[in-house]
Amino acid sequence: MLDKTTSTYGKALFDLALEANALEQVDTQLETFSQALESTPDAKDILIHSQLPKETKKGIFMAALADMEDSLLYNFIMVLVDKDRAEYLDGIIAAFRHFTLEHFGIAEGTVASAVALSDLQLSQLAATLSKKLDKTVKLNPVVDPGLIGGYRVNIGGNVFDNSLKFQLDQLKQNLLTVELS
Amino acid sequence: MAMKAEEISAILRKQIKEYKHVLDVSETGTVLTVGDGIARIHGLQNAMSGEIIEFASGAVGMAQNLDSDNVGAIILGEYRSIREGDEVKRTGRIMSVPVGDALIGRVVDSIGNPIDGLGPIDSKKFRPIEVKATGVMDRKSVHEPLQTGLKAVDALVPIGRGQRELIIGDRQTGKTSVAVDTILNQKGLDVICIYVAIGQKESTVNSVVETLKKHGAMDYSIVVSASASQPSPMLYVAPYAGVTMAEEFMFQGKHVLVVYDDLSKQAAAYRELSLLLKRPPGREAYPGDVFYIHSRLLERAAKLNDELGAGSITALPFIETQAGDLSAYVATNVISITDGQIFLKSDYFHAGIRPAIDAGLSVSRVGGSAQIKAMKKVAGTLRLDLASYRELEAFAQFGSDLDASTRAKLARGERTVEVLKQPVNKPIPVEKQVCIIYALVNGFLDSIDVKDIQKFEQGLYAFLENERSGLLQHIRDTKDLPDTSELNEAIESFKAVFN
Repeated sequence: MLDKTTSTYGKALFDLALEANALEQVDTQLETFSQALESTPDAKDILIHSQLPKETKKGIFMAALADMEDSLLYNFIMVLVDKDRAEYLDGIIAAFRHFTLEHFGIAEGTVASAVALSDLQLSQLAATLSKKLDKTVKLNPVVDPGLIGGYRVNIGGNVFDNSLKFQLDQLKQNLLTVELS
Repeated sequence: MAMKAEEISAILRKQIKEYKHVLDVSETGTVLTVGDGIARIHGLQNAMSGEIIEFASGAVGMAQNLDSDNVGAIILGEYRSIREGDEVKRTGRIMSVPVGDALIGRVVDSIGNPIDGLGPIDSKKFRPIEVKATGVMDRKSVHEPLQTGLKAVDALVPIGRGQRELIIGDRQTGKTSVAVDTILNQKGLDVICIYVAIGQKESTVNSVVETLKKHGAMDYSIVVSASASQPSPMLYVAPYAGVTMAEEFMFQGKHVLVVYDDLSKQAAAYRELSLLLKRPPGREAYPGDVFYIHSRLLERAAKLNDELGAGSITALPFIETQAGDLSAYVATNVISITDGQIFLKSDYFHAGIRPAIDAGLSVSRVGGSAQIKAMKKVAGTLRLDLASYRELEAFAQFGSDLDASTRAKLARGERTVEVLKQPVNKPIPVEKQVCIIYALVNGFLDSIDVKDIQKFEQGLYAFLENERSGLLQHIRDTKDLPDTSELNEAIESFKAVFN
């Protein structure tokens, strides 16, 4: 969810990266950084700790990010710590990704299916949807046996439901409203 | 309903055979928070205000607040099965209720589901509950009377078909009785009555339904009930559902009477859900548009012009006051919207003056054009008589030495009050009302003891029915007074028998 804080910070970072023509680079850096944080919970705790002085935090991260000093990411983390917004990091990354995807005309979505889809099926589905939505569609496959059969695509809240479960629900609805003479 | 197994299986076979494979494309969101009949939903970017949305559990809601990053919705019906993170679907529809003849005689909830245990309602037609009210050019001014069967109302604050007359008073002052009597009096007059109970006790609604049934009034009535136990969104939509059912009949050229019992509870329900939706509170914590919820509802009462079939919706909204305070926020709002009000006073009610109508504070802005000629003639001075009596009454308590004209005025006033009393569930046809008020204003009752007035009234009705039915027939047919000498003679001859 994009709230005001995360989208403001995300937009600022996006604009800077766009200016420097380094969108992809920043994107990968951000991803690496957040993965690193996830894998070392201590680091995350330090970053969002409310009692630690800012100087201590900055010292730790300056050392950790020493090899990328003066890069966009480095400055960004320092600003976050200075402004006490480090706890919003995940949201800001999500906002940044949202703006980046929009910029490149990419729509990310999930496709749920009863059985795992083959790569060919996935790419065909993505190609069809890309044509339909006039965007590059990237699908993230998940398996949901509850669908019984078929698939269900959700792209940014727009759902294309072609599952057997939906068809059965429809049939049930129709049977319930049959006129009995 | 008896049904054969083969029949069902044949239908099923047909359904399954003809079943079309469809791909469902819909816009969805997820539930962020849910509680107190309100849900906040992330997503649904293109949802429209008032649109029906569907939760994964099957419950439906109505989009209300369209904020920058979420949608606030009211949930209609059961909301306990909705969980955080559930998927919510747009439907592209706005809320509708079933309408038509199938509803007559039924008790339904705010969304048109039957709650009287008489089986499903076989109605194929639906109408959206929020529509724009009839415009200026489609209307006609109110000119036909809607007889309430209550002497005090028909004589002092006449109601016309297509009018909106507020019934206002403290709790326990007989507001519901006024409405129920009015419904009972519409028997055989081709008026469809819709009683909308908002936030009432189930037992109260039940007793109203029983009363209507006992007097055969359910044959032309619909009861819409959103009782106190229902969540506030149901209370909020109930009056709109009621008026929507009424509109269907109005556009067929029929006459409809809608009673909203009561709008203060609807305003309170709307306040509750507005506060939960985090809309800014205003005076008495009501949201800014509390005037609009009532004005758009009551604007839908109308008298249509002849091209549209001359149908009408008469609205009788109720407002419950606290200790007679007419200047409360919602009360003043509704007073300013309606075409007049009937004020019921609890002092009168406890003094045994029932219906407890305060003639001084009750008005009908449509007035004389909604009265039959005969009533207009006899009731002209009634209001003045009552006003001067109320003025003298306080004064007369101090002194015993009163001059003759004052004593006469007091005597007339006492009899006027007595004549305007009426027991509940006993509406009186207008021709009889005219006769007794004629007798009153022309001084025939001055020589009758105050305690005998009611007996005299009943006797006079019976006498006129049996001995002088031509007179009653004349008023009924011509709507005008018969020859006064004949009427005088009739009353005099009954008086001779009575004494």
